[in-house]
Amino acid sequence: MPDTDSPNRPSAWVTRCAWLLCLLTFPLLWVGGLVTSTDAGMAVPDWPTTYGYNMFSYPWQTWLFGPWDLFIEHGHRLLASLVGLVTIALVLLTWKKDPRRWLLTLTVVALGLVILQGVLGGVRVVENERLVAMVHGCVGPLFFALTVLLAVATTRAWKGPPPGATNRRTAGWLLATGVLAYVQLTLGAQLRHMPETASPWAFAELVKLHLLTAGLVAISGFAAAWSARKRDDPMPVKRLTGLLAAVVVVQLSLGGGTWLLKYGCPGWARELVPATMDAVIADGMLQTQVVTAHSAIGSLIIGLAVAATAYALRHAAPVSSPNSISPPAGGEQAV
Amino acid sequence: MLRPVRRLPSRPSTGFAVSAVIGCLLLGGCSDAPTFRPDPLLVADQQLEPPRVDTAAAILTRLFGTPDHPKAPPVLAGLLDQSLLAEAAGPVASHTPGVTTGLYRRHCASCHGITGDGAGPAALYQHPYPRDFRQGVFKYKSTYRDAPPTQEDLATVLRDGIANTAMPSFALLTDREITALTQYVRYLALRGQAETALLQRLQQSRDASVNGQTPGESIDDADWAASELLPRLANTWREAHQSIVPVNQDWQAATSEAWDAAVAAGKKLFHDTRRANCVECHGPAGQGGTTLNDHDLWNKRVHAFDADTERMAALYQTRTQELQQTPPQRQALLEEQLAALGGQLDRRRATATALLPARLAEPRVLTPGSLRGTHTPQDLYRRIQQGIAGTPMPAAGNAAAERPSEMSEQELFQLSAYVMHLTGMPRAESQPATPAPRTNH
Repeated sequence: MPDTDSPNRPSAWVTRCAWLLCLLTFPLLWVGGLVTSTDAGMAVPDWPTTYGYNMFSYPWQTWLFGPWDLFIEHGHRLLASLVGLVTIALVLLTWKKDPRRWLLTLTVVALGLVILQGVLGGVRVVENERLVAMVHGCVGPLFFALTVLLAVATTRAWKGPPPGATNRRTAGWLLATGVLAYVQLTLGAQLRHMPETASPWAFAELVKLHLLTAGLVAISGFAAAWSARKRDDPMPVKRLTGLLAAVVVVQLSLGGGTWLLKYGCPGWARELVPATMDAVIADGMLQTQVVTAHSAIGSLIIGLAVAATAYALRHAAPVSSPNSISPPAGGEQAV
Repeated sequence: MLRPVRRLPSRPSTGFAVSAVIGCLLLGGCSDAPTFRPDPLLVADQQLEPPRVDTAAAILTRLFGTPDHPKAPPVLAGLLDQSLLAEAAGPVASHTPGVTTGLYRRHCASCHGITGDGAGPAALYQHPYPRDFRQGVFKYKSTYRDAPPTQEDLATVLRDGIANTAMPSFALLTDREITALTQYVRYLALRGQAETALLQRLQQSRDASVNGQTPGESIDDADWAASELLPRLANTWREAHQSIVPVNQDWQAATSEAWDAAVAAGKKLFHDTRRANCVECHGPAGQGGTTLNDHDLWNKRVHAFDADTERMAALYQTRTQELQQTPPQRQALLEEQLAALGGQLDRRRATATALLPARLAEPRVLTPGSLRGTHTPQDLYRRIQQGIAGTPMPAAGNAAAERPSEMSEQELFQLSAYVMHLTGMPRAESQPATPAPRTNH
């Protein structure tokens, strides 16, 4: 295959590998969330082996047709291993095919992060420590955000001629959304991994903070989408901010659903919920999938914010430009 | 010099709570093995000093073990199975594919708490609060009002959950896992009842020694717990199976006309203020609209504690004012009394911040789907006949086998027919649709 590495065309293999990594990491986060939702974190008591077997030689029939928690936990490990291998491939491909040293540096950082994630997961199991599980759950989305950035940096929209300047206000809102979304995710992780000995008051304060931050994420996400449209920012930014706003709406609904399914209807809302609903089935499909989706979509919001911010900052209007806070006169460019 | 009584914050501030959580997590302090928490309300109410509280804790640890290593006292043989307790206790782990240990911490502790005190981390915003097991009182059961539940009663609640509350259905657990959890709940209830009796005994012996009274027969507290207290508790729980309320009614046998007549008669009884008087709490036609100024057992103890604390605060204020008019030669004594009272008040207020705020009891509004823990006409009949243990809902029938009943069986049948009419409960004996339990081991 001819080397496609011209200044404006990223290497096809680097692009494919970067996107593959990104698209594998999101389901990995989902499955990781499912591990917590079903409390399958200790379904396999050893690491890096699985019940004494090498991880890759554990009998596949037992894995696929055995207990559900074993299926989830061992599956999570296998998928994580695949993500690690793809990360290594990306480092090598970037080194061979992409002239951008900063991109190579980012891929090496990604490799370090995924190795750290693997070790954290192992320590969580070996020590049976929920605190490490919480840290593991917070580092995963960081890695995902990095894979999003790597994928974005290999697109033609990134490397090609600027599609127009993004208003700095939009960029600012996007940056705020990404940061707030990550803070929100860590608050959610603390709620999910709250020690059983914690006081109800500490949990309640975290819930209030989580609700407040949800509001802030929603405000900054909607503000970014509104700003991109009002100021006619480039199409990639408009599309991504629109998608981000829609996902935030979905996430707010999932948050409400998560609370109802885990902790029942709060006293003030009981008039609004019909009394004819049966008791929720603990660890049932509805509860586990809604709760897990809420966790995973949080990471998706971070990823979308990172992608949009990256594009916005790449082509941000200069500070001294008269367009820095007014709609730029730019064309459209497809992502 | 009088020590000013500190007005403690009513609840931990946001900054304090978040800092405490973050600090705890960063320092890894939360990974220490959890311990059972002595009942803070009893300790404060009975003004027990730390050495006595430690004595009680040591006795209970010797008898019942710890959250990670529970023990079934020999005298409770037949009530508690050591292997099932071990399966339910401790941190969540799995050493055999498909077999999970630490079931209580996995499924229950976040609401019911490590000690079974109903004050787990997620408790505050739940409506109603999670059950406090320590009094050994359970609402939804087949036994007489004051009798403990049977193991099957506890298993039924676990399998079905309680609709319109945060208590989910654990129908996906295996039979063994359900049994292990019911054993552990019974263990926490017995331990809680033992703790209450032990703390009371320690308070009495403290009061006796303060008053210079010579105790009668002297027996070591640990021996008393093992040889007198636990056997008494064990007998009560063992007799649960003999305390099942018989139900000799057939709701399906009645013809349509007979059923309509029963519903009409039940409606009359429901609204008759001299007989069943259900309308006083449940409102006309069970539609609510009333305010009940009463609490259930679990909230009443908190309410009473708060009320006593306020009375003590008023007394403190009064005595402080009296001090101003007291002659100097008698002030020292009054100051000493005030200092002691102030210290007690501080401790009570500190304890109050750790208790879930008391809530008023809420009589059920009788609409379709509103009944909790009640799925069949037999369940409903028992609720009406026995009332609901721990709540202001009284028994319309005989609350114990040997007591006379206020209402006849026919009247109780008529009342149940009317409530079934209001709530849409079918006359056929049916159980709620629940998925088949897992049988993966």
